[in-house]
Amino acid sequence: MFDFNTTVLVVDDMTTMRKIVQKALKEIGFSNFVEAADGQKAWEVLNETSSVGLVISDWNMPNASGLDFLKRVRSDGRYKGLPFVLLTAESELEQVKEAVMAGVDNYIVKPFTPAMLEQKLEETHKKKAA
Amino acid sequence: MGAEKLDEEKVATKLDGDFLNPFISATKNVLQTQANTDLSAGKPYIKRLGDVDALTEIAGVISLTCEQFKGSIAVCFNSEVFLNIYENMVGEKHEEITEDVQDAAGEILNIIFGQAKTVLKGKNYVLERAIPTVLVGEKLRIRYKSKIPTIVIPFETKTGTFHIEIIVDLDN
Repeated sequence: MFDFNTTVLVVDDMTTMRKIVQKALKEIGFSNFVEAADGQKAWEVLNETSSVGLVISDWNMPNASGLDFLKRVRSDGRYKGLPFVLLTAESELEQVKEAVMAGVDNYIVKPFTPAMLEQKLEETHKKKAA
Repeated sequence: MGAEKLDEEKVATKLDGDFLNPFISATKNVLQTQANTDLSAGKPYIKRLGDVDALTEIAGVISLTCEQFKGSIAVCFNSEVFLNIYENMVGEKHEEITEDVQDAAGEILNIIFGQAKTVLKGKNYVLERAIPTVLVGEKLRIRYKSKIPTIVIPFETKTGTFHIEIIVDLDN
């Protein structure tokens, strides 16, 4: 599993969903978080926070979407290996292919329990370690 | 036959079980999974202008647009039920509905809409993507002055009842 001391960047335009994700991450064992409400702000937060070791980002957001943010992350050599998990609605699953092409590591469909998120993070960590 | 009765028949024709059941299943799944809230669905009924409304203090609303019709769906809560669900979802206890907690009504409906949309696509209802809004106060009262018959689906939780309401634009 990931180092629980790592900082997780949680990106969603809905305050409630950012809180839901952080609540689940706390139950899993994480305790350090930074957050952003869109892809543009997330890019700024990522560059200001050197300890970010995992990104969990929504897809549909104003200004810059989760996909825009992912593409920007993957185009910067510093973040090529940064674990990136997409948070998506069931109706947007067709779009996941596009995210995979852009370099996403995993995705989780809303609604989710902490156990479901933990399983996705374990899968992501194993994939990264392989 | 009165105009109201005709409108009810039009609504019932446009919204059969094929359309309603995915929203009922999605509501139960979303609340159980994301908010750890047990609930049961009651029998859907048609509400007319003049019927006594259940107390609604906050609602998430999304437009419903597909080839067959246009309308909107709302998830309507009183503050006690809403704040209990919010506490289960987020882990924060609040005594009243403030700006900090309001977007949860939109997010709950957004996830329900996403699940139902996928199922409905397989039944030939292709809903357009839509963004939720949250209604409180005066905007909520305006919605309740609608003369169009509304399909109401009640859901019972330990804390009380909340409703899914579907309004169909009969001109489309």
